[in-house]
Amino acid sequence: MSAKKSKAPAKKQAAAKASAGSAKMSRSASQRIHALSRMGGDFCEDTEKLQGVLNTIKDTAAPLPVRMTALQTMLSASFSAPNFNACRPDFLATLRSVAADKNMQIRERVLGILSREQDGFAQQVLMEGLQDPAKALLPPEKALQLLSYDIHADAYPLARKIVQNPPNEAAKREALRLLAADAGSAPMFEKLLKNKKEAVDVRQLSAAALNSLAPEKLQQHARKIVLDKSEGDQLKATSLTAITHFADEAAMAKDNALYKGVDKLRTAHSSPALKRVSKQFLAKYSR
Amino acid sequence: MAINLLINGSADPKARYVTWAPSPCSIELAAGPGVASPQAVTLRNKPPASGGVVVFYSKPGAAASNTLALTLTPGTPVSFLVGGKFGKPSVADGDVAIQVMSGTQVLAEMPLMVRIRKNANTLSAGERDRFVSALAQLNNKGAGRYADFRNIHDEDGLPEAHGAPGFLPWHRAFTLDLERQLQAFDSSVTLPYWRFDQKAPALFTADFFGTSDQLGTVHFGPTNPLQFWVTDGIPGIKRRPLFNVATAAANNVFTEAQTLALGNQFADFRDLEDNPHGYAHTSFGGSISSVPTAVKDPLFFLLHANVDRLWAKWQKKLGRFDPSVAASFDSTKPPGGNRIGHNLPDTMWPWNGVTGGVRPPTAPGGPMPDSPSVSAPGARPRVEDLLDYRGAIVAGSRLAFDYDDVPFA
Amino acid sequence: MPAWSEAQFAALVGELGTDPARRDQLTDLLREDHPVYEQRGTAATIRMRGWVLLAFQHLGLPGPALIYVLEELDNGRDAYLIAAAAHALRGSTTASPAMAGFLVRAITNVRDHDDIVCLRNYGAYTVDEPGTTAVREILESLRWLGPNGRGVLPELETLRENRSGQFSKSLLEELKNTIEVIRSSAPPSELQENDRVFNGTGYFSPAAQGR
Repeated sequence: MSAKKSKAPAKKQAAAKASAGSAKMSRSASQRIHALSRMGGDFCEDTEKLQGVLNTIKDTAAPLPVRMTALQTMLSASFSAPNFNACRPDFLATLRSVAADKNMQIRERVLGILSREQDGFAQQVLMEGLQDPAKALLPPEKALQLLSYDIHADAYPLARKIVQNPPNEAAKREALRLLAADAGSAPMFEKLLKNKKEAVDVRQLSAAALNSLAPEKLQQHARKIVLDKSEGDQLKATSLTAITHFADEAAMAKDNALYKGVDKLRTAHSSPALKRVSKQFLAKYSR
Repeated sequence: MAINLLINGSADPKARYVTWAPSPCSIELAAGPGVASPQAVTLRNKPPASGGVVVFYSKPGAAASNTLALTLTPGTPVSFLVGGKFGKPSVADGDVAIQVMSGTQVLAEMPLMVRIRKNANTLSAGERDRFVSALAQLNNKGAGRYADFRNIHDEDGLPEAHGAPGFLPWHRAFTLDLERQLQAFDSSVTLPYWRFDQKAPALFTADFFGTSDQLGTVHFGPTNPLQFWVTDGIPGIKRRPLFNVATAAANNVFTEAQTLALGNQFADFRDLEDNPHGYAHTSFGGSISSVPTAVKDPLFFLLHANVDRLWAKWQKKLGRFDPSVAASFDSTKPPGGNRIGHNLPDTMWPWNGVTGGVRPPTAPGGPMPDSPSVSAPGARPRVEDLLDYRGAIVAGSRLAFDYDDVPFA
Repeated sequence: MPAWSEAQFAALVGELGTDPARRDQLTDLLREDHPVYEQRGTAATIRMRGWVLLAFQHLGLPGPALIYVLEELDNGRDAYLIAAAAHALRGSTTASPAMAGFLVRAITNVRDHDDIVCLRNYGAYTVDEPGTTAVREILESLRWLGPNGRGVLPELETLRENRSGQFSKSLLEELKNTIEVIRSSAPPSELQENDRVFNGTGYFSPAAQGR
């Protein structure tokens, strides 16, 4: 354990004094926030201080900003405390105990932290909420987003169902984002990209997914989109960006038809974004 | 008349990058018919100055000068130094050139770049685009070397880099590693920094580091290659600011002045690891707010560039470049000593390739990349190799980076 | 979709765990390539495998199952599985000094990401149930080993220095207590003829070999 310093500067002595009473209900919220944010990273060594912070997180009577600052204090310590791993088990247990808190912001923050730890408890409650909305702790789109931190969370079957029958558009997009890590979903993304009736943002999302899952397919479709007069500028710009940065350079250097097509885009009544990426492409593959 | 000009001791065009700290150079007049000996020349910036400006030094420790008069004897190289003029960094590669003059005649001209790390919020469109392009190539849809950076900074690697005196040197090496790998794609690129104690409206935009929706999904413009960002096989970046990025600083972070006032001893100054560093990370929901996922968001590197800039500023303010000076590093030791990797002579994981035992089970990424400009810190840097980053104590310790607001002199 | 729900799986394990005649079937469920784990996410697989391991503590831990326990201690990274493995080890009929090395390695594997886990009910998380941690279960198993843990006393003393600060004060106390228990336990008496000792790969009879 780090002994660190021979004497604490005045600032630290004031912080230690201020933090000693952080759990007292008589202090104003701003004083408590001030004390919490100046506790320093080594409070994990002090059982009383640690419990004070964890109790503040659990304290449903405390003002929300105070509880959120207590969460920030613990999270910040996870980056800096020499002995944070010693208090990690208690921190995770505290997070699980407030995952069903009445306040949505607490639930969202806490389930986010647990999801990034690939916590089985968090994944379980999130999936239960997707299967049974009456049990949902978060909106479906947020639950899907958090489940995507772990490609082994076994959320793909649920995500596919939601794509077919989405409760809202945001949930559909997040389900698609989650499936963007699933190799088996490449044909679905190809179909979505080709579908001119699909929303532009879904087609862009599909392009990004395909660029990861099946980059050669994306390059083929991106080329077609760039040269297709009936396609909109936004999708053309996305497609040309993918080509400019990730295509086979040797193949692009020989593709005169594409070069001519992009040159026309540069001078035509294209959007500023499309003109800009056209110039980048032409500069990279200048003849 | 043939003139050989070496920047950073090299004829390699990739070595033609200087910072505020003086770079060793040499000039040689090739012997030949019609070549006068000796030949008086003057070195100057090619006018008009459109971007960077350089200054010249006749020898180490000499005063900087806008021009430098030299006498050349054919076949005998003459050494001198060149550095960027503080406040005049380049905005594009080759936007400054050294001219070798004989009277009004230009004998030779060499473009170079004053390559400086800048505030991300003030980059030009060109600087911004080159940086994101290099970053996207390093990621390469999840298949690129960025995956190593992501795998290095996880829970296994945490003790190697945090909670002990090596935090600042380790992250200086980590950011330097990334920057050198970006420069392998585009030599003109440097790592910008995010001033988390100020608003940064130009950073969190569709054309740069993205805008976040209510869920925390980051959206990029159609021409931004970061829209194809992938880590762990999962496309996209999740980042939910808990503050207004356009109008406010990160939550509860110390200001620069408060950070620099943490103490005059490194042992006190390194408290910045908690605040502002930890608080900057946790002012978001999303990947950057948790240790195991922080590097999935490339904002991590701009955050740490600012942490490093604060250290650099503190070093300049107090002259803390010399590892042999106790105040430059944390010499207080807990019982049993600092953990390995946190003592000055220790090599640092993962660059040392050591695994097992008290070190993590794997060492992703390999040794520290070389630079065409400098030889430091070496393939397996030690903690002490990261302190004298501008060669203030030992010229050969230069790491070839500087910050736009940390002067040399 | 998997053929079995987790609830069905837990019920099967519960049934097998009370029948010594079906220990082999229980052991078979520890194979990583067992079909029951197909199409399962990581968290579900952890819950299922951990539950199988825990079933051995009362049923007794046969040799083939012991291999899985030791492998988990040697290479595992998940707190729940390591806790379950350490717990299951105490179902062995014979303690052996070789087991101590595996337990100490498990501490190294898990100390940076330990967690409070619940071993009482299937799939329980420590929201409504009291829990333990992987390191605590390992320390309890080291105390169970008693004199067979003497070979790792130097490593335990090094851990007690806590240079990396991974252990809380209460855990350090428990570690100190574990060291004292091991030190103060009576040395193993001379091996009886039928005693069998685990040497890391299998059981052998030292007395039969004339040692």
